[in-house]
Amino acid sequence: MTVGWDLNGFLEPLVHLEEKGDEFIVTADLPFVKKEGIEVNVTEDVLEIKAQMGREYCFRKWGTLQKGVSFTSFKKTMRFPSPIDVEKTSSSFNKGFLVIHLPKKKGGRKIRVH
Amino acid sequence: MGDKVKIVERGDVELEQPSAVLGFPDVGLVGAIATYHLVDKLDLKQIASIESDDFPPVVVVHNGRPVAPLRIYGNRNLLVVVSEIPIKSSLMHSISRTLVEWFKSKNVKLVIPLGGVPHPNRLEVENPQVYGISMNKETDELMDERDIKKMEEGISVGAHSLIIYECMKNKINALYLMAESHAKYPDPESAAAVIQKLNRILDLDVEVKELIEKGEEIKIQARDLMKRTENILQDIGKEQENEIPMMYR
Repeated sequence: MTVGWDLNGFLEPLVHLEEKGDEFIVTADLPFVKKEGIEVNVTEDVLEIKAQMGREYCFRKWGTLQKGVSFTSFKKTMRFPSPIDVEKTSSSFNKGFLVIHLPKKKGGRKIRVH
Repeated sequence: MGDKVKIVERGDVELEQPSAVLGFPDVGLVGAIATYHLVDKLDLKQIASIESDDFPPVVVVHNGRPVAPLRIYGNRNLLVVVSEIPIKSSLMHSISRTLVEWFKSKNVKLVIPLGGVPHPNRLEVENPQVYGISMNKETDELMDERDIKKMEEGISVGAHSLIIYECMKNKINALYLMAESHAKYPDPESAAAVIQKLNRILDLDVEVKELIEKGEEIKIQARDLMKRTENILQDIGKEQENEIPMMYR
């Protein structure tokens, strides 16, 4: 249920996948990130977001071993419920939010109704 | 389940018909962020905790000491209720009843829950509007004089909604302030907007610049609470707030 982090300095961002008609829309909240620091890789089934933070972030008083960890980037991998059309994906970054539009791959064929 | 929630007071604090502000984790964590900020900026001291055997077995450690996750801070004129855990649906009624009974015993004159109202295009909103649910003409006037738009019809879901309803039953003035916000992302800007209105209602002077300047930091720190809260919001049917209510006249 928690969002997640690891000792190598990765934070998992808050991310939501929304299915809207013929496309999926993924939104990620990426504080301290600039557009240049974002890398998005996408296949038909999987989306990977990596984003470098513009500064290190350390929770100096938090927990036990967490005190020594400097978080420097966000990382998130997610799987789509159905294949997407990789060539038609697009993204934008505004006010710290990455928004990715991922059209669903059109498949199948028309069936004649008799 | 009975009313197993209790308010455990610590020390004697003289209250003089205070106002009470609440901010349970909800949409955009607007109320939670705003109440933490109020406690910090007004340097309020903890005066009570809210406890129940039905709460999750959670203790929060602050400054090296364990504290209850639901706490009441205050001074002579102001009480601020904060929670570091989202409130489960099954506890919302009993917490609301117990809190309002306690407010009544303390002669609280005005109760103001702070929250968010999801805006579908929040990224395009520069200055979040603040809306209110008011319970009588007196609180209507408080809103009108401060340009707070009134929610006339609709459905309001969650602990804040129950609290204003309990206040109405107990004849305590109450006003639920909600700023347009992200639904599923912490929204410090909306918390700032709601505090600005609160300043005008309670004649406070709480600076909100820091909420904007440290917004990104707050968003990182609030990630996990937001995620937990999102699950609770789903559980309580928060999406009903977007539904058209059946109207009858």
